[in-house]
Amino acid sequence: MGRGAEEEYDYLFKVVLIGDSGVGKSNLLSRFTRNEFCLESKSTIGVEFATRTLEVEGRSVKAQIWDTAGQERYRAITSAYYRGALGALLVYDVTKPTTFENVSRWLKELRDHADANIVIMLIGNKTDLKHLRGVATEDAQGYAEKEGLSFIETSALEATNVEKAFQTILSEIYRIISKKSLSSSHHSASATVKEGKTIAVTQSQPSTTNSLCCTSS
Amino acid sequence: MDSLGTSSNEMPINHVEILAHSNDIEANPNQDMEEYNIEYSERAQCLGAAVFGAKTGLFITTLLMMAIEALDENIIAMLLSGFLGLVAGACSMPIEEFVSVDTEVAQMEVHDNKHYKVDEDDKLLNHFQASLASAIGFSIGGMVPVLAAVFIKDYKLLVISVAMLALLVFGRIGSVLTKSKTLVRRTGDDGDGGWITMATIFGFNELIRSHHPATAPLDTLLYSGGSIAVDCPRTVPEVSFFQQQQVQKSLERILYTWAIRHPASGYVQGINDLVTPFLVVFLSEYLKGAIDNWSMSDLSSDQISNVEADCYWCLSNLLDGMQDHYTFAQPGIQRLVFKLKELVRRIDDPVSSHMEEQGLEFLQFAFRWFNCLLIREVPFHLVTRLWDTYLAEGDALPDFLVYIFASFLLTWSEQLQKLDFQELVMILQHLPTKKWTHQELEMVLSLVEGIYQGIPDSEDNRV
Repeated sequence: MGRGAEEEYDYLFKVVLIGDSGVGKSNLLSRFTRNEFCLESKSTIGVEFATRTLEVEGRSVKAQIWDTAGQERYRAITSAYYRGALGALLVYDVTKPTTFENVSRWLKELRDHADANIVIMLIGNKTDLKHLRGVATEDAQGYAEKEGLSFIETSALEATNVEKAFQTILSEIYRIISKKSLSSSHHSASATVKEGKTIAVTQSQPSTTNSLCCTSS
Repeated sequence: MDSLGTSSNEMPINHVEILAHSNDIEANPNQDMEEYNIEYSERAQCLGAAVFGAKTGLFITTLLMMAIEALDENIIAMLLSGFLGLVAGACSMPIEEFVSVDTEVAQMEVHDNKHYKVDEDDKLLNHFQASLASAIGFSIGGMVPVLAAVFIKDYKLLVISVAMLALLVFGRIGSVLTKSKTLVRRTGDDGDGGWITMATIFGFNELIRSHHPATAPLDTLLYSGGSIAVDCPRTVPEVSFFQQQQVQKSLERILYTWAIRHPASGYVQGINDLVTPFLVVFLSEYLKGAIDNWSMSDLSSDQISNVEADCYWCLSNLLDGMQDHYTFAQPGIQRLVFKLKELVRRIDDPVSSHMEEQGLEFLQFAFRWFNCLLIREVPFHLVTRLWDTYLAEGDALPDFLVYIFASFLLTWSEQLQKLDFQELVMILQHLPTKKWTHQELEMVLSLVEGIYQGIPDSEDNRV
């Protein structure tokens, strides 16, 4: 698989970016993958795609990131991309309280369509707009703890914490994967049966993985 | 109305009175007393009609306003419905009153063996008076909740309270007048039944509201998720003209009007792109030279209004045949993406099977093509040329898009066959058209006709 790609990597993790329209998902992605930022970037239609390979816990990991449209009307199209994703970055805008209030709706969306053990990270973006802040860090932190999510605040414009956010979620996924592949080598039968759903996903997207993670989700 | 239901019970009473009223035939020993009763009973009939009308007006108007309030928490809608209910009731009450009294008398005439004849003129006059009284009564009663809603801030609870209070007052007036037996029929069971009814109305109101928690004002519906205001500043950002505030305001007005007039889809992101070619074409009538040097402030407000109206009309016309591209789950787009996949499979099997091998879904790249009609895939200066072809197709456009997009995709046929899944997604989402001139676009468009005619049995198998 991935025969055209020359680069080598040990793992391939699929991650989705979700959250309300205009919170800065696309700019987080362009900052992470191309180190670019565009103040007036076009709205995302459907789903856009980018990748970047980086070192996580001493291993080379290719992050395959699907950036989804935030508008409600695209939910039916975008939710198809949650399937098989190992991680989700749920983004809100720290200057717009409604985007934070909608986080619970996005969580429900993930619980309905994504794999049960998906790693979710809550991201409060646009911290550079200090004078416009409308969501307190403590509130978001508290909410994330209550819902069992990791949490970080970022600024795609100033490139603050963007790298850290992706690193954190990829490490978390890696830890879960390696724990699973370890346990699956001991009790391989039960683990494979449990993860039967993932096999269908890798069939539809053959290049999703080239190594260890095919038995995990 | 319950007057019809109870009328049979009260008939003897009315009978006696009307008999008394028209007592010219037999000599009566208690003539004076009877005269007095006649006067009183005439007045009582009118008063009874008025009080009954007032109570009915109060009930119906309050009920109507509460129902509207439960569905749409909007004081204007509630007031308007109350007022209209009031007018409608005030018109229908007297008619009903007239008919009901008339029927009663007719029934009595048939029922009665004593054969009296009511003076026709007198009867008619009485009916008119009673009808008028009930109309006025209804208006007064109905005004209570409407006025309460106008003057009271926390309207719902207080409207109910005021209505209940008014009911009590009407009930009291009724019972003061009960000396006349006519009024027993008219006012009925003074306040108590009314109170129960009011409480029921309130309960219903709460019930309906609890089942409609998401009744949001129109603004929030239109702006939820992806908003017009958020998208206008990020429309065609690569052309500086669209960064002018006045241009963005015009866009916003066009899209807002379109969204209101098309509630089935509302505004969907990407429709902002579709207005831009029209805007540029209509503005080019007034603004000369390169688009980068245009300024909206050179136009009068009338000219701007005209351009906006033209753009709105053209956008509506363009999208009329594609409404299901923007409704829930966007079935129109999904159908065309499927057709595109089928067409490509027929005309270019190698690229089609390569994409399939790589697990690439057409939806992953062609969705945006259909959603924004390729506007995002070609440089902006070529879009008007593209639009020209679209508009020439008229109603057949949606299906014709499939052929244009197939031709567009196959421009890179050879290149695509060498790429893996990720490279395919990357290139198809960011096609290298930045340097395209009219020549490349003309090539794509000229190949469309060839594809259209080149498919085996194209007439029968058009996809």
